Amino acid sequence: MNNKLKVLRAERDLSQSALAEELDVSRQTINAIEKGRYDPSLPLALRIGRYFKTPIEEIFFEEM
Amino acid sequence: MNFDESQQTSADKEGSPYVKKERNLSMNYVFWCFLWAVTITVSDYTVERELIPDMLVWPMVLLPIVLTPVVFYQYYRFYSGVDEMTRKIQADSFVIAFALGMFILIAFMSLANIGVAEPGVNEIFAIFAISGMIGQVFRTVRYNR
Repeated sequence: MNNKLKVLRAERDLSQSALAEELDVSRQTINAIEKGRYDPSLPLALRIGRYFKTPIEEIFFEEM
Repeated sequence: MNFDESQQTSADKEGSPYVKKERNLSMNYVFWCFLWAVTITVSDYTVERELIPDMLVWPMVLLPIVLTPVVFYQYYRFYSGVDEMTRKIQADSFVIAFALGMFILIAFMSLANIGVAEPGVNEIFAIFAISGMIGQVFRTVRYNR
């Protein structure tokens, strides 16, 4: 699964560590999600969506 | 700001609340594992060699047994407290440990038919423990590259 987490983070000038702290996960988790190595659970995806005020289907999308 | 942070940052080293929580949970678990390993070793050594008075034999035998559920409870606390990717790494490493451990065990048992020494309880324990460590390293590298 692809995502635009890195873009959203960059738009808000947020570091991975800062976002990780907001979401109560490790920075490694944010890094793995951004690189597409780890797909977050639905609760975490919803927290990410809520944090960026963006529907999750706009953040996460299937590879074409 | 550098938005590509695949390496550890100074913030990681200083520790966010999550990093501190994970560190505390893992150190707590490591402490109990260490204590458990020491009691198993001391218990085996002293009881087998009859180095302690009779009245201390039963407590010494029971000590590692009593500590076992404590260690598993500490692992459960660690597992419940870490974030979902760390939990996934742990779960994946159990699968790898089981698969690798069974492979090595079956190989040894088959080789026993041609004279190779069969693994004892200690060796079986070590095979699964080492397989678990290999699994953890393998999965951690896989997710954190």
